[in-house]
Amino acid sequence: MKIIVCMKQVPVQDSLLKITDDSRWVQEAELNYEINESDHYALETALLLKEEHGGEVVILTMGPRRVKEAIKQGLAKGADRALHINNESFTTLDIFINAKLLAAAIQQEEADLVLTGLQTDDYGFGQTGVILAEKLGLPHASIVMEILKQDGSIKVKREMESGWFQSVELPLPALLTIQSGISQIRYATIKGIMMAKKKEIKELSLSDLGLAEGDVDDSTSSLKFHKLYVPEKTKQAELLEGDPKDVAAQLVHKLKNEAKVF
Amino acid sequence: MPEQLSFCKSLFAGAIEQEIVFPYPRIDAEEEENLSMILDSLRQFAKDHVNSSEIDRSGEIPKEILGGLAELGVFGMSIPEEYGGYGFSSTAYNRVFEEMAAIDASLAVTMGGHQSIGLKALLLHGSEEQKKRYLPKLASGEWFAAFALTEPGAGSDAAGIQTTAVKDESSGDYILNGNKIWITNGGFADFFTVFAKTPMGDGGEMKISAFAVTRDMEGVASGKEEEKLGIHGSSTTELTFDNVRVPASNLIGPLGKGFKVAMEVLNSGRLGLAAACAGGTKKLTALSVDHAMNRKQFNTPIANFEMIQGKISDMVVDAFVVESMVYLTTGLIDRGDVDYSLESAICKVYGSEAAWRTVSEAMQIAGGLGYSAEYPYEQALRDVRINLIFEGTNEVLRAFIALAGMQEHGEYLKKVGKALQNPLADLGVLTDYTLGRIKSRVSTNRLEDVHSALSEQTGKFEEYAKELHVAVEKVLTKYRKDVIHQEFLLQRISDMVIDLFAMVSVITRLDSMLKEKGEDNVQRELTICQTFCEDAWRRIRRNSRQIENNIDASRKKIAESTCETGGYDLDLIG
Amino acid sequence: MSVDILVVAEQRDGVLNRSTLEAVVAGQELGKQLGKEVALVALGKGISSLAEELTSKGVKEVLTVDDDKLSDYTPDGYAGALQQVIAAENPAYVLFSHTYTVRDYAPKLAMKLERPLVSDCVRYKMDGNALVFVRQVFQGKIDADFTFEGDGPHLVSFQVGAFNADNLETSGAAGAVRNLSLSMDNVEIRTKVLDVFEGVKQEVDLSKADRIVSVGRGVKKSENIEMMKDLAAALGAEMGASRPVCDDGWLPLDRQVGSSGQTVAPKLYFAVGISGAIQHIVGMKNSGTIVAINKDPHAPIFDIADYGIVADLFEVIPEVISALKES
Repeated sequence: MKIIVCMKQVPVQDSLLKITDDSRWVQEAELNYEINESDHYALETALLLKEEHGGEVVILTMGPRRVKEAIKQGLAKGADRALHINNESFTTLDIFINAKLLAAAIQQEEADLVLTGLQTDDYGFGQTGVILAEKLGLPHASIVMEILKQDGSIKVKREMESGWFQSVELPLPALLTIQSGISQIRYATIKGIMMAKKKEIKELSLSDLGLAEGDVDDSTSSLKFHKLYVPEKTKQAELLEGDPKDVAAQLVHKLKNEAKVF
Repeated sequence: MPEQLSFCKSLFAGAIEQEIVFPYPRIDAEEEENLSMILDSLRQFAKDHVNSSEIDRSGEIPKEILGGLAELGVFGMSIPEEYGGYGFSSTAYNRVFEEMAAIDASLAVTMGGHQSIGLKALLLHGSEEQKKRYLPKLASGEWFAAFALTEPGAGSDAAGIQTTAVKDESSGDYILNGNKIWITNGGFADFFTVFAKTPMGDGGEMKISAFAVTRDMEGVASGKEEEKLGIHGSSTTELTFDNVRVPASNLIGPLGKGFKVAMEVLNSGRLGLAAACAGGTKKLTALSVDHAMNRKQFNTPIANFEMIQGKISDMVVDAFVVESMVYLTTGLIDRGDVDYSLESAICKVYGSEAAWRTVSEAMQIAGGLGYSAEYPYEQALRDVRINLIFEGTNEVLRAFIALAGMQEHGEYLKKVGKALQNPLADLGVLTDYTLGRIKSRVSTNRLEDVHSALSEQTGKFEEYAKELHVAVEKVLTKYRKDVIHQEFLLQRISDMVIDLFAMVSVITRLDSMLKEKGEDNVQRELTICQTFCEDAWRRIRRNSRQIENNIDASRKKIAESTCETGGYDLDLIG
Repeated sequence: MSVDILVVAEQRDGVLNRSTLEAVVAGQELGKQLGKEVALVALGKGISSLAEELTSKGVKEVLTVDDDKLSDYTPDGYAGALQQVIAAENPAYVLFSHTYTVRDYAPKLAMKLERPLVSDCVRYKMDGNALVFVRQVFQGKIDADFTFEGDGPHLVSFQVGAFNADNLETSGAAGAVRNLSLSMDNVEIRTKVLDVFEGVKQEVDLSKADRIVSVGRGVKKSENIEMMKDLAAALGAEMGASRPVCDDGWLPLDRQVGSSGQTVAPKLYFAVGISGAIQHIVGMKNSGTIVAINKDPHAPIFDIADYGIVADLFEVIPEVISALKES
C-alpha cells in the first residue's frame, strides 16, 4: 500500500506571536516551527498501516526551505521518502490553489491512500484535506480515529460531535483526514535519524508539477484576506492578586458574596 | 607515549597554546542537525514517560523507561557503527548526556555508569574480538555495563586495590577474587570492567590489569542496593568475585597496564559528569526563573528584587561557563591529538561546584517551598551533591590539576630533582604517572587576533596566565619535592588554573560568536563573558597573593589541635 | 423564486442539530443588514415533519430535498445535493454552522462550486459597505478579516456558539415548505455508512452538574490530578477536563468538556491549567461563574472568565482548598 502523508510545519504551540507591520502575517524571524499536531498523527497512522500491510510512506509537504526540518523528522520516524513543494515565491492563503499544488504532486504518485491532519494549528481552515480529495476525485472521510484495511477498501471510524461516531466504508484509493490524539506518536530513534540522511527528498517546482505562474495567482479569488489583529477583549476576568493565601481567601469571599454560588 | 599538546599544562610553563583552544570547536553541520533531532526525541520521550520524582520516590527506574531509551538508541551513542552503535563524537555524546541529566539525575548516572565509564575501556583498548563480542549487546541496551574499580580500602587511592587475578597456568584463565564497592549499575549490569592486581613475572610484583567480566560467570555476585542521599533510581551495590574464572581473552589492554586504562576512562568519564552538571544547572535556572517571575511578594514578582536577580545572574553565568568549558574540552577529545586530562578534571570540579551553588540558590529563591518535598528542589539538591564526590573527589582532582601541571613544568623538574618526576605516584586514582611530555612548540604568552570587543578580557587572561607561571615558580623553588604536601598551595594553584581555563573557554566561545554573528547579535553573551572574567581575575589575583601571604599555618594548627581533642571542645556555656 | 440567504440545516434521524438555529440567527442578523430574506434547506429521507418544525424558525422558506441517497449522511450525497440546490436557487450567501459534519462536506461543496468557503467564522461586521467575516487563526490567538468580492453564492460557516440560538426571531409568519426534486441519479455515493453510535457510554452527565472543576494541560502530569480532585471535593464539584488530559488517559473520556466532549453550563466552572482553546471554550462558555487559574496571563481563558488568578496553580490550589474548608 502506498500512502502519501501531507504534513505542514507551523509555529510551535504557545509561541509568542507578533503581527507584522502590514498586518498580513506574523513575524517569523523569532519563531520556532514544528510539525502540525494532527499531521503527526496522520504520519503515525501511515507508519502503522505500513508496518501491518507493507508498502511505502511518502511525505508531501509545502513550504519554504525550513520545512526540510519537518521532513527529516518524518523520514527519521520511518517514512520512506519525501516530496517538497517549495512555495517561497508563491505563498498564498487560497486553499484552492494550495490544494491544486498538492494534488498535482499526488497525481504523479498513484497512491492508495492520502492522509492529512484534521486541520492546521496556524490558519486552521480545516478544509485542505477535503478539497484535495475532491480535486483528486477521491472519496474521503474526515476526523478519522481508526482505520481497518480490507481488500480494496477501508473501514474507518470517524468522530462526530458529543461523543458520537460514524463507521463508514470507503473504496480505495481514498483520502482521510486524521484526528489528533488517536495513537501514541513514535519518537525518532537515533537509527532512524541517521538513516533519514540517505532517504530521498524530491524538490518539486511549479514546472515539475506541470503548472505555470498563472496557476498560483490568487488575485482573481473572490475571497480576500485583509488583515490580522489581536482580538479586542469583550470581557476580561477580574484578576485577583496577592500571595497564594490571599488570593485564595479573596476568591472564596467573592464566590460567596459576589457570585453567590454557595 | 606520544607527545601531546595540552593547553592547561602549557599554562604552567607560561605558554599560551592558543591554537588548541581557538577557534571554538564546532561539530559539523550534519551531526548538529542530527543532534538537535535526537534531543527533540529525547525531550518528547521524557515528557511523555519520565517522572523524575516518582523515580526518586520508588528508588528505581521503570523498565519501560530503560526499554524506551534503548529503543531510541541512546545506550549505543558512543559505540562505533560497526559494533551496532552510532559513532557519536564526544561533543554529541556529552550533549545528549547533558540532556539526560536535565531529565533525571538517576537516569544520567545509570547512563554514565554504562557508557561514559562502564564500556569505555572496551572502546579504548578492547581487542577486535572483544568488541565484536560485547559491544553490540551493550549498544542495543540489551546489556548494561559497569565500571568496577573502587574497593573498601581503595577509594581515591585506586592504586591500592586488593582484588587479584591470578593466572591458572593449567587452563590459562585468570582467577578473580575480591570485593568492589559503590559500583554504579552494580545491581543489574551484565558486563563489568573490573580492575585487579596480577602478578608480573617471577618477582611477584603485582600490577593492575583490566578484565571484561560478565554476570553469567560463576562467582560474580552483587550485594544489596546502597541507601543513598540522592540519585535513588540508580543502582549502587557491592560486587564480589569469588574464584571467578575469567578467560585470558578477556584481558582488556596489555597485562599490567590497567591503571593507565582506568585513568584514561576516568579522564573522559569525568567530562560526562561535567556535562551532566551543565544540564542540571540549566534546568534549575529555568525553574528558578519561572518561580521568581510568578511568585509575588510586596506586590511585585520577586524577580524584581536585586538579591534575587543576583542569584539568577550567578546561575546563568555558571551555566554559560560550564557549557563553554565542557564543549571546548569535548572538542579537544574529538580532534584527537590533545592531552585533555587536566581540562576534563577542571570541568568536573567547576561543573559540580557550579551545580551545587545553583541548586542551593534555586532552593533559596523558592524559599519555604524549596524545602518542601512536593517541589523539585530538595530532590535536585540531594541528586546534585554526589557530583562533588564521585569519579575523583574535587579535593583529589585539585591536587591532580596542580601537580600534573607542575610535573610538566620541565625546566624546574630538573632543578627539583628526581622525586618530582613522579610526584603523582602517591596520589592514586587521579594520577597517570606515565604522562607524556608536552610537545614543545613555539609558544607565545599572548592571545592573538581576538575580537576587539574582548580586548579587556584577553588582557586580563594574559596577565593572570603570567601570574600563574610566577606562582608555580615560587612554589616549586621554595618547596621542591615537598610540594605534594603543600595542599593549601596546590588548591590555590589549581583554582587559578580552573579560573584561567574557564576564562579562556568563554573568551574563545565569544570570539567565535562575535566573528560569526557580529557584536550587535551577541550582547547578552558578551555581558555574561565580561561578568565572569571580571569575577575570575579577581579570584585569581586573590589566590596568587595568598600564595605567600596567607593564614594557612593557623588553619592547619586549628585542624590538628581539634583532631587531637576529637572535636569541638571549646563550649562557651556548660 | 429564489432565496437570498440560505442556511443549511443539520439533522440526524429527523432531529434538528441545535446549532442550525445559531446559523439561522446569523442569517437573520445578516439579512437585516443587507435587506435580505432567510431560507433553510434540509436534506434527508422522510423529513417532512422536520420541515414542518423548521417553518416556525423565523425563515421565509424551508426547502427540502428528500431522497434515498440522503437517508444517511455522506459527503458525496450532501455535496451533490447542495451543489444542485445552490445552482438552482443562486443565493447570495450560504450559511452553515461549523459542525463536524459541515467540516466533512462543506469544503467539498465549495470545491464543486469553485466558490471559496470562509470557515469557522466567529462574527461578521460591516466596514463601510463591505461585509467582513472574522475568523480566528493560530488557535484563537489572532483574528483575521475576510471579505468576498463579486456576486455570490458566498459560503460561510460560523463557529458553534458564535451566535446565540435564544436570539432567534420567530415572530413573523411561518415559512413555506418547498420540496425540491433533484436528479440524484448522477450523484455517486462512494462511502457506505455502516453504523452511527455513541462511543463511550457517558457515565457522567456533566451537563447536569452544578459545579465543575476542569483541568487542562497545565496540571503537567497525571499524579497532579489528585490535588484537583481534592479541590473538586472541597467544592462539591464534578471533575471535567480538556481534551489533552483525556487523550493522555489522566481522566476518563467521559469527563471531557468541549466540542468533542460534553457541553456544560454549571453555576460554577473552575478552569485549572486550561489555556482556553476554542474547542474547550465552546463546551463551557455558558457557565454561570467562571474561575480561571493559569500561569500565562495571556491565556484566552481569561477572556471569558469572571475571576482570574495568574499564578502557579500548585501554589494556589492548596490554599483555595484550605480556604474552602475553613469557610
